Amino acid sequence: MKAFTAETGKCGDCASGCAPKRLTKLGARVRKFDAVAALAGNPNTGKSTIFNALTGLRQHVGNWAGKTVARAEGAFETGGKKFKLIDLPGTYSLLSTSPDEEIARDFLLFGKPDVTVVVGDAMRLERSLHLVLQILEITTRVVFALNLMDEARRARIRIDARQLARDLNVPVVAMAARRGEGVSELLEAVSETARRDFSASARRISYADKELENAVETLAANLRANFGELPNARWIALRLLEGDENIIRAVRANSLGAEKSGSHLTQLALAEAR
Amino acid sequence: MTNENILEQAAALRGALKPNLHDELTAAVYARASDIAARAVHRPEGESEPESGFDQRLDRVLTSRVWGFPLMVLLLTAVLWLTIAGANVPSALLADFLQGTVYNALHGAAQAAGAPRWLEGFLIDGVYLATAWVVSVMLPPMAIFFPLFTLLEDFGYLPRVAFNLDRLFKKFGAHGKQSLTMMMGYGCNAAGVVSTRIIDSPRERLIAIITNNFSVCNGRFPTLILVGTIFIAAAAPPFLAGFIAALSVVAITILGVFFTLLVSAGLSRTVLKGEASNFSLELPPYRPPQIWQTLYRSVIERTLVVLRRAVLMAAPAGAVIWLVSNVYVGGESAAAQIIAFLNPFGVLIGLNGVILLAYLVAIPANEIVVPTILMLTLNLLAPGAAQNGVMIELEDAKIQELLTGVGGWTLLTGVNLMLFSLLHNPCSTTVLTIWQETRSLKWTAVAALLPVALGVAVCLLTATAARLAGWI
Amino acid sequence: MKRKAGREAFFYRKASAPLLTGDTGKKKTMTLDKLERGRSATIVQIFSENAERRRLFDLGILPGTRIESVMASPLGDPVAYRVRNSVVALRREQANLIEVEEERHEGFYR
Repeated sequence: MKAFTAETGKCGDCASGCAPKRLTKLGARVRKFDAVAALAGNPNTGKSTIFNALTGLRQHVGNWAGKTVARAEGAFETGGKKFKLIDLPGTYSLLSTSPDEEIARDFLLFGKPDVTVVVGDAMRLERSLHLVLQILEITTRVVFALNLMDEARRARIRIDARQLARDLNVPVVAMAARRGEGVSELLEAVSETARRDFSASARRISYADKELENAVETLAANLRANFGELPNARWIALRLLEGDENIIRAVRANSLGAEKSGSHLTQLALAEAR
Repeated sequence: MTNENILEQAAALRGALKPNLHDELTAAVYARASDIAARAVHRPEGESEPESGFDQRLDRVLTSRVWGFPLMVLLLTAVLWLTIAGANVPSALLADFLQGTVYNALHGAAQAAGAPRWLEGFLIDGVYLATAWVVSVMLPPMAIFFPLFTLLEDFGYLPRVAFNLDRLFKKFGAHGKQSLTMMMGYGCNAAGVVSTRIIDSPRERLIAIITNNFSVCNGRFPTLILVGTIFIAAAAPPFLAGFIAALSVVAITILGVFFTLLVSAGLSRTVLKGEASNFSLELPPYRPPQIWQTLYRSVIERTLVVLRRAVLMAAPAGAVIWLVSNVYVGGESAAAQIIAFLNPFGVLIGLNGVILLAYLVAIPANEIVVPTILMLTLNLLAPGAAQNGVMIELEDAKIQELLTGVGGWTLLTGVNLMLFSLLHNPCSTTVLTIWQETRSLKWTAVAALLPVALGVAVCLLTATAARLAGWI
Repeated sequence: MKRKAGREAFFYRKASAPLLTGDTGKKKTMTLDKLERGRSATIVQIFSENAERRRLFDLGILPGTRIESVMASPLGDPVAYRVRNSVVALRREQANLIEVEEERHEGFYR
């Protein structure tokens, strides 16, 4: 795969939009890397376009749900760091029972990516936010890539990205990935998020139901006692209350808190999800 | 507190909670999402929701009661016709160059270098010739078909096809999303099998896997196009030939859909009984395809990837073909003996021994069926022709001459080869993929053998009918 | 979907009870499959169960949501609905389990 830097000043590959600053597309060369980034999002939001723009790979972009059925991997370099980029299957939620959703969720939970880029659709913001909020319950190392801004512009809809960033408390990058708009801003946000030191725990949505709130807090406290500082103890507590098999297995195997050692479990979960 | 204790505690708490936990959670998240979205989104004055007039008008046509189905067939015909008409000239030019100029130059160079006769034959008439044929037969149609198909796909048409066909598929015990996996199958069956993951119900997914082979993959289209051109369209006036050839290929494709539905119904009524699952499919907005990027991507990436695979398969296949044609056992070449053995059965089902041997050689890749048939016919039935180079730059007319004159082919052979091309075992890559996806030897075997059995049965049927009618 | 045994099955089956209901007063309601093309309605309750119920909720189809019937497929079924600005196709028997209350006036766009 041809790699090129924008510093040479030449954009020899305009098929994937013009090269943004400070990006080295590394194609499928993923042997050595400093950080892992995951790409999540609803189907039809241009996730594959962004994947291609970052890695220089030409994963075929299809305009229908379920196009990326397997995980795709690529790599890019920005801000002096080599990132491995994992393209997760497009999903509407992380709570359901389809194999795709399980693959995406298990990777976020057990693969512990350094940054998760959630691709959203500016025209269908509510549904995109539904996924963003779910992911924020698992990890706060998130960048929200608000794609398809060109479609929103055409429909004369204005979206206040700053307001979104304030409400979500994560970087929000307005993009029109097909035109190459916002790619360099996305890179900046990704390397910034990868650098940042996160001590804060994940976003919490509190529930009006007192009984539920109490149950979640009780379980979360016990989980923290056993597994150390889990950023997403409340989320795991909720899954336990729902009787989620994969999470029950992870608790039993004592593999929730372990740094990056959950990989064999991810493999296991991935294999079983098939 | 141990981890087991936590799990027990969770189970106990679960019993005490309201039973609609998931509802509550989703509703809470959506409420927050609506809240945040309302603060960030500013719509133009007087409009509470965005216009989508164009999409709706287009959808009214593409999914209309009257035009929905005809437009689907029309688009498929158009794509195939453009492929056939457009591939003609470049195919001939490529053949001229690779099987003419380069081939002769190679022989000349080998003779000048004083290479042994057998090595020259093995490398040039075996390995090189098979590879050259695969390139000239496959490259032009693929370089046209892939981009066209990709444009339709990027535009957003495929989910509409699933929407149109869902009722039909449901009636036959399959899932509407199976039509999406079929369309992936037109590119490559192995990719089609992987794409069945979009179907949640294991039962319906298995049906989709087993029937994916009835989607004629890209490796098989060149065979259909060639045979359709030289046998079916030959009778038509020249200006209609391309169109008739396209129609014959469309007919086979639609027959494939028919077999998909038939086998789906058969499976879902016998060994794979069960409730129809649900269908919730998003119809994304139409998006203008990025024409240049699509062309670049599908020609450079997709086409070359598939071609590379074909060449990788063709080179050893060429070596095998040359060897079996030139290794003599008891006075006759191995190929001649295998063909003589297969021929009675082949003729019985309206094919012949050469075709059956070609399908055995082509198990790794369907792409090499036609080159194998041509090489075997040339090597065995017209020995010397290959060496003197006269019939190597095969154009359609010459191929027909070779197959009918030397190979003894009839219209029935052509028709049955098209049918058998649709109905035979998946290539070895696809079989391997099926095993990886199902992890079941039983279902892999069913998926591999059922199409062959159907193919033999259908070909026997047409051959018998043709004999009874006195056509042959 | 696979049938789950034991606790989970019990848990999910009870989830079928429609609990989140839009505030409807005494207005007339119907099932979604009866909604005419081009008309909009508000979802009152959803009777689907298990995985299907979850799938609908995840797509943003939940009580209180506004939904519009957009078009039917050539064979009359499934029907496409617009919800939260995206178009989702549902089969008749799925729509039959969704209770809606039709809006009095016509949709903003047809």
